[in-house]
Amino acid sequence: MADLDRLLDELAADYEAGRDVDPAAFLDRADPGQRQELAARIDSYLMTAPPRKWDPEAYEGSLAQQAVDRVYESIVAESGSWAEVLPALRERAQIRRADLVSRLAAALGFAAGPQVEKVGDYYNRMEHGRLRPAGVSGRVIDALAEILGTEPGRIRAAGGLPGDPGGKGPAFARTAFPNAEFADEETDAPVERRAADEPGRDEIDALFLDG
Amino acid sequence: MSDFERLEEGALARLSDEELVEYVVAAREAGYLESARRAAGIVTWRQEPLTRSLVAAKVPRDSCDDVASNAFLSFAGSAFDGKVILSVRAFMIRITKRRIADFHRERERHPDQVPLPGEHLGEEEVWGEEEAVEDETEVVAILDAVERVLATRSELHRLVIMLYGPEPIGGEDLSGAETAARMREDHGDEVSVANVQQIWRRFKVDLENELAAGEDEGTPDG
Repeated sequence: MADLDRLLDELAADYEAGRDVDPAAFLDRADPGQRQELAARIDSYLMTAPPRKWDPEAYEGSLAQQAVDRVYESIVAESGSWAEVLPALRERAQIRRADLVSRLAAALGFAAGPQVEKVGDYYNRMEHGRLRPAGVSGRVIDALAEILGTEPGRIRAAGGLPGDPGGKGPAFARTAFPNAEFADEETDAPVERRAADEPGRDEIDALFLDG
Repeated sequence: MSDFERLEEGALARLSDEELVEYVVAAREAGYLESARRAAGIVTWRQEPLTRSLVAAKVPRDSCDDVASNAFLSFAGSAFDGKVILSVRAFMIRITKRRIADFHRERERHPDQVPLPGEHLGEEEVWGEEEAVEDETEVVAILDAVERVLATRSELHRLVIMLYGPEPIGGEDLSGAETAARMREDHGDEVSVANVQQIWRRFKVDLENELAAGEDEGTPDG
């Protein structure tokens, strides 16, 4: 069995060189009676070691990536973060919800009272995270961005829609995070039914439900 | 809403763990979920060796990935929700130890799933004493600080904090929506998700200040 100092040195050399480190393999190489001591020394080393060197290729498919993607997808599935972002943008722009709804309805070409009310109902659902982002059309998002004084991409990104590339550009030839613009079409799949196919649905429904 | 500046991957990789966690929160608050995902990915990936080491010493080999995955899920959720307190590595250790404890509790409840002879590491290793990386005096200091800061809060805020707060402070680590629902169902109080997050953010700032003050007091003069 290898002695503990040598095992720890070997693990540290691998770690600091950016090579993949499997602590379990090192524990297997220690005498069974010394494994707890080696485990404690590995933990202490890793607690104070320099940050692990970023390796986009190694990240791909890792347990860390799987966990982060699951959390990310659950957040997006809940309506992105419109429930957080839209009220904040409205507050920053100092626009009352009723005023925003009137302007949004006008921008979309609706002036009649019931139509404005319906637009207001849909916008309310957006602010409360109760509307599927993929169903909201680009016209609505563009109009909202104009009213709120922000970029459409910001609203799209908050809804988990293509529009937030996640950075100003790739720093590596290969990146672990492909740009959202090139994401699977599945993430922005067309809805199964169009408004025109259903009785009782109108243009406003289409704008907020059919993408 | 703060003016959030997006960083490219190379710049993110140069940030410290704590800066990455701050970036995740800022990105999410600004609505840049993909940016938040990038930073969360880098900081979570950095914790892999430490987490795997902690797990390997306490869990049978064939269950290590499951337990580590659960620890990463807990950590990533806390990162996105702005619940990471203290140093990232210390937080990760505490989360990982919780998931290891969950694993052993589950095994106790289902003894038919106890590993076959030779599958686990040996009794004294699986059930060995916790090692030095988690300093019990530090744990007590954190919980004391939590108590002190909680004492400055209203009853409603205390309830919200302990429902929404992460496990390392003794919280239930519920989501904002779950916290709001529990407040409504169990206590008859209407609290919005935004309010839950705001209550937590203020508490976190005060807790970190309290912990920093405690560290300063504990620093020897010479």
